[in-house]
Amino acid sequence: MPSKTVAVGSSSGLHARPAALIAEAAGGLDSTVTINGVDASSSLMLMTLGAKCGDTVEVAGADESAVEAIAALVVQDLDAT
Amino acid sequence: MSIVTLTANPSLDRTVALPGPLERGAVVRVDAMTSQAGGKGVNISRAAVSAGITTVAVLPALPDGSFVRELEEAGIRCHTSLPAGEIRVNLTLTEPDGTTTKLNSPGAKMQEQHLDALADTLVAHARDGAWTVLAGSLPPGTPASFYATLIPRLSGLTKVAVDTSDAPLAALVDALPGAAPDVLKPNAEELASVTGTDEATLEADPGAAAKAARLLVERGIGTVLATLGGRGAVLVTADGAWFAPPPPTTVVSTVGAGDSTLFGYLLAELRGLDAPERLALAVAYGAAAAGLPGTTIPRPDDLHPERVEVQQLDQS
Repeated sequence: MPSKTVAVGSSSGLHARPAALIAEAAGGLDSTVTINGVDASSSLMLMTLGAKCGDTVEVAGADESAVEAIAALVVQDLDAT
Repeated sequence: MSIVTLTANPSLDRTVALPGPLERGAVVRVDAMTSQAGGKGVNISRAAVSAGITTVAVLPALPDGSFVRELEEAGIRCHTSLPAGEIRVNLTLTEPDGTTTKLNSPGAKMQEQHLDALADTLVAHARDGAWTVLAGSLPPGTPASFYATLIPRLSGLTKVAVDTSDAPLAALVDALPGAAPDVLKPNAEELASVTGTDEATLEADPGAAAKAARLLVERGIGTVLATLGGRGAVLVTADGAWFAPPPPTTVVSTVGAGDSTLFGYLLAELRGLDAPERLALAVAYGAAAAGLPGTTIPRPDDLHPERVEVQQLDQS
């Protein structure tokens, strides 16, 4: 299964706004993507990871382009958008 | 950030999966039997490991015994105190339709020296935990006030969550506001027993459950998380009350569902989530646990808090 290890780019970590933006994007994809084993389309589950800015996480899923799309969001500073 | 659990009355949990309805007096060939180190505190520590939260279990057991070895191998750090005897065995019978029968044995009788050693071990390690969870029954020989007298000793070291029943729960409520935990997790029966209300009414009516839970919050308990079996759970704090029914779940085994519910709440609290989100994660954990066999703890990919709809209750 394709997976990619990336560092969290958002200054608040995978918390309120970044988690919501990632979950929204993941929910709109045709295939399921996980971050450290939790469903990326659930903002609540993303927040339970407690991933801080700079922490590395593993993005995985059956579809490589979907994994790439979510990984690209994880590395961005979504608090600044 | 870690969770310290106290398991005063640890047990070896044997689960027997019956091929059909339990027949009294018959010889039954069972499909499968599992055995694992258990107790409510241990279950919560297992859930913590699964969610990537460091955890410490405090229990009366031999430090080099097989029980502790099993926990250490599962990633749970153990601090033990002198046990009074052999670890008890709890037998659970599960039927294909989800009916669960539990035969719980009492455990060895504790003397004062065992109880003092257990309490001192917990107090010595409680500051390692953002939360300390006091969960489950007390072994024979233990005064019902054990939890109630322990809570003031933990104050200032850690936040405290309690999940217990019968006399230890009654003693804790009697000692309010002096021995108020930060979180209490009763089920409908336990909430009814300490508020003089009716279990069936509380289970059927989340508003009534919230009203009963409010009585305990008014007496000093920070948060009451009341589980209502298949109806979900109610959360009451000084700031409000919320109810969440579980998402549609095929119930396989309700053993450990309450422990998972409490852990889900604590995990959300550790991550700084707000009250409705904490309740959603608690109910998602409980529902996922009920859908898994035996005391199996949900893994993160079993959890679907986004399917839980939290409703605010009007308590004016």
